[in-house]
Amino acid sequence: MKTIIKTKKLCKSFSNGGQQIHVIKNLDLEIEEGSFTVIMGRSGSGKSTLLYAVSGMDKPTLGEVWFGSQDIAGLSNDKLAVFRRKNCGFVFQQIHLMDTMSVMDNIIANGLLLTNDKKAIYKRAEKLLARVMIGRELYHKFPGQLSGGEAQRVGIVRALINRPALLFADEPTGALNSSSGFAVLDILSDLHKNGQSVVMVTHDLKSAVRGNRIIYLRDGAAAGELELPPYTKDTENSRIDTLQKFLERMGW
Amino acid sequence: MKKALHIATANIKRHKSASASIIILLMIVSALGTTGLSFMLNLNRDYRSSLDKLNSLHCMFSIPKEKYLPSFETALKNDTRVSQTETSEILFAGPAKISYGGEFTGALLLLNIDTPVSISNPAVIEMDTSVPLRDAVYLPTYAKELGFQNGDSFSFQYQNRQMECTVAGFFESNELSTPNNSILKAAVSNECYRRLSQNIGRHIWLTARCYHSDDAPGVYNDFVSGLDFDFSLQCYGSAGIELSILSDAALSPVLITSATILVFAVLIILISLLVIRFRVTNSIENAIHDIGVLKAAGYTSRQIIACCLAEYGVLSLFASFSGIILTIPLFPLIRNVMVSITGVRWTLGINPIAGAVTVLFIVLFLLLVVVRSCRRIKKLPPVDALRGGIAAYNFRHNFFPLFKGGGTVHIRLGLKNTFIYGKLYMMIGIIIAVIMMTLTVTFAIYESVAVSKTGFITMVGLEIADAELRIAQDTDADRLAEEIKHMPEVRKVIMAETTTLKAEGVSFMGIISDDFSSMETMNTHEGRFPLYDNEIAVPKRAADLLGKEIGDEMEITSNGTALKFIITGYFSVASYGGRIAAVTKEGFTKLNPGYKRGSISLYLNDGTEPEEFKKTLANSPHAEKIDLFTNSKADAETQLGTYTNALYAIIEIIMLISLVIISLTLTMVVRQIVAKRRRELGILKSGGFTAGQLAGQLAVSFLPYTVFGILTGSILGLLVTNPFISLMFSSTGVHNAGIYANPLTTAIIAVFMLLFTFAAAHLSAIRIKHVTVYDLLSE
Ligand SMILES: Nc1ncnc2c1ncn2[C@@H]1O[C@H](COP(=O)(O)OP(=O)(O)OP(=O)(O)O)[C@@H](O)[C@H]1O
Ligand SMILES: [Mg+2]
Repeated sequence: MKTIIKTKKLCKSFSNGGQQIHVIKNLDLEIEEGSFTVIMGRSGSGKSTLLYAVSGMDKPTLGEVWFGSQDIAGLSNDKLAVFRRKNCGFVFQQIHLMDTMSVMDNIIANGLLLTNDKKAIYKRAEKLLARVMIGRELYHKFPGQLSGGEAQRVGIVRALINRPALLFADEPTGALNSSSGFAVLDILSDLHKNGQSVVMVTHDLKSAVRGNRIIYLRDGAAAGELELPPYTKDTENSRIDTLQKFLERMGW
Repeated sequence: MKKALHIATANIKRHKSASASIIILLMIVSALGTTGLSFMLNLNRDYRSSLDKLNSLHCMFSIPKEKYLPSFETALKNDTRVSQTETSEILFAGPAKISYGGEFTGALLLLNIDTPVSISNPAVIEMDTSVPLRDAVYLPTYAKELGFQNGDSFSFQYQNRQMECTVAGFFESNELSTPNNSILKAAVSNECYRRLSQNIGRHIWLTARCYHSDDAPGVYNDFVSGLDFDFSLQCYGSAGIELSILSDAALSPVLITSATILVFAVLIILISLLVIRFRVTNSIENAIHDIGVLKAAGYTSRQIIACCLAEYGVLSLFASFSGIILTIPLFPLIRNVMVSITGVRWTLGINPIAGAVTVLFIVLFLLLVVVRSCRRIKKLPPVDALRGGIAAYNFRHNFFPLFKGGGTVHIRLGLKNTFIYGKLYMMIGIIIAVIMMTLTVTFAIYESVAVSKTGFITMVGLEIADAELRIAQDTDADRLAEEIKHMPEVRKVIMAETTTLKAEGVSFMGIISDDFSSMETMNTHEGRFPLYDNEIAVPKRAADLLGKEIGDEMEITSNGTALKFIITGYFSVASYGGRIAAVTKEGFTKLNPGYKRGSISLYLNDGTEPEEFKKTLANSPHAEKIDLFTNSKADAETQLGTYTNALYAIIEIIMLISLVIISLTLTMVVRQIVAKRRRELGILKSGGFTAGQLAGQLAVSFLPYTVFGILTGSILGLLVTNPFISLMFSSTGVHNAGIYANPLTTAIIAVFMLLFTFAAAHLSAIRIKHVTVYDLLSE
């Protein structure tokens, strides 16, 4: 399998009132193309920080982040923005749709960054929306008029509109009730099955078992890893057992 | 209350930058308000006290020595209104062509510095003793504004003789130091006096001061009417002038410039108040969450409102007092400008009442705004306040859908925001419109006064031809006029002579013509000019002064004869306090049977310079019939020179303040929008929009409103310029200023403003750059 993202001695620290907090410490990590990587760890262990650092949302303090043959750690803010629009899709716990725009415009705003072909982008959005079961009647609604689950599914479509090499999701089900959460997870599993690389941060066991590789983060370093076979519905319970044992070993 | 004050000061400290912008604007308002009001309240009083400071004359007469009788002074002394009289011998060169900041034709009074006087004594400062006494001339300090320095030569032409002197010092003077009255008062050393007296006639200079300076015109009129002396041709042979004419010359440039400043100050104050209102309302809205927290903790609405009132009370008091303190060093600057425009040694100061009124106004205004924006706090339940007060936008319409229509995604995203934040942007649009309008009007004044000058001459309303010929004694003026009219360089010949006369006992300047319809700048705005020998036209202001109307009779006295004339019309004029009367040649001859036309005014064809034509005339057979050729337009322009610099300074200040206000407002609104859209901008950034693209979108979103503001402002400016300026100067007697904004200039300003606002919006929006995606997303 090809490596899609690789970090070398990645460090990220914040200064907090003159005091340095080292959140990520010398982390070496490789993520393979087509994998579904799950990052777990206690609250404050640096999961979100890591996600933002490898996805070009934030600049690492030290170290390298290789995307293919390019080190994105040293890129300017504008170059990073271009990198993100071409290669990364984001799904947020708080969903973060823009309240002032319709569902369709929320999606298309990002799509139009890479092409001027409005028709083509509209068609692609339609296809993706159909795939996440969002009906036409919602296209011109505003985010405030959607349910949480619907909104998050729109969020996923927005993340996918530019065919990103990597889909990043930070607690995508964190704000949803369990049935909406399941629907979102099913979409992610489905995407993964069709070859999409996914990196997801989660607290939730039922979410985590969707991945085929679980990395446990402790104090900014990878404390351990668990490999799982590809997800199927009928293996769900046994996967949860395996994961639980792994987490116990990690001191979860 | 103490607690409220405590929270208030804490709040001011916490919102430093927001408070700073309000303070800056309030300071501008306070400084402009105090200055403007002080001006209005003090101007006349300050002028009088400047006169007292130098013991300046209220009336003066310059009479050839051989015609002077000691009884003249006695007559004046016996007038109970007169407090002091004085005579001294001077040299009188008139008419002379004087090089004094450009050339002008007028009378030159030369006092002997070695025989001091007590009224209007030229006390020399900055004396240069190295100048040979034979050549030493001392000029009013105003001359320094025209570039004169010690050691420079001062020259004038009198009776075809070129006279040369050297500047050896300056003296302070309140009168006759600018070319505006066509009389210049200077002084020379005793040696120089003797040298010049060989070629210049000796006069007795009779001066007087009154107990009340307002009596000066009355004293002057009574004195003149008891004398069979003609002071009408002021600078020729003899001269007389009194305070109301002097103060007209001194005050009208100040009134014109200060009216310009005041109008602008009022506009700036309006704009600033608008911005402040917006700022205060917004910061209270933004604090709604904090207010919820306070409410939840048990504060009452009343207590919270008291906090807000205290906060803005402290702020407005601080800012308005600082603004007044700011004007203290400003006043000497203003004084210098005024001295340089008027030649009067002003004693100007801040008027405490003006300061108090300004402070009171500012504090009350701000508190009113606060009370209004606080009304919502009262109704707000704490839970709603905690949730952010207003339920998230209730959107109905998706403006500028991205999937259809033209334009790039950036332009369309920008335009979306134009509509979403319409109310916020509208304020910018209005402010830009007001500023654009102000700039249009100001530039129109500037162009007509400083650049082309003719516009201003038109506004003043006196007929000023290209040249004026004084005719030799025994020449038939009408025949000569007819001959000159046929010269190829000449476009038109008119008769426009000035004289002094009395209307209902008040001294007036008379304009005599045989055909008022041929006048180019003098115009009636109601009725018509006189056609017959019993008709007269006056400015409306003069008619009001005498309580007359069109159709009424008016008694005119000249040369001891009094006759009734019917008022046929009003014309617009802004000099001589409006006390000007237009009479026909026949009418004036009825009063003065011996009257003979003594001058010809002429207009030249385009492309003919008066100086060239003067040479042509000198080489023509007409030469001997002409005593004096005056380049009237050049004279008028020399006199206008006093306004040019002042107006230029004003324009610069107005431009600067305009740009400051625009930048301040834009920065404020951009900040507001960035704060409101923080999350949205974060989302867009995470999706791969660069900071530059987002700043560009913000700048684009302003465009429709700036374009709207600039267009409306320009159109309004073009439309209102003339009525506005007419109104502004109506107190000086102008009815129709005839000053219009130049569409080309307006277009240039508009383009400049458009670029400036776009750049300013872009620049202040680029602050998005310093916010990381993480910052934007975490609320
Ligand atoms: N911009 C920042 N400035 C200062 N400190 C920060 C910043 N971002 C993160 N931190 C700190 O870094 C640490 C890790 O934060 P991070 O959000 O990565 O944790 P997390 O593992 O995602 O936690 P959670 O499960 O609660 O989301 C925390 O202590 C946080 O306070
Ligand atoms: Mg996190």
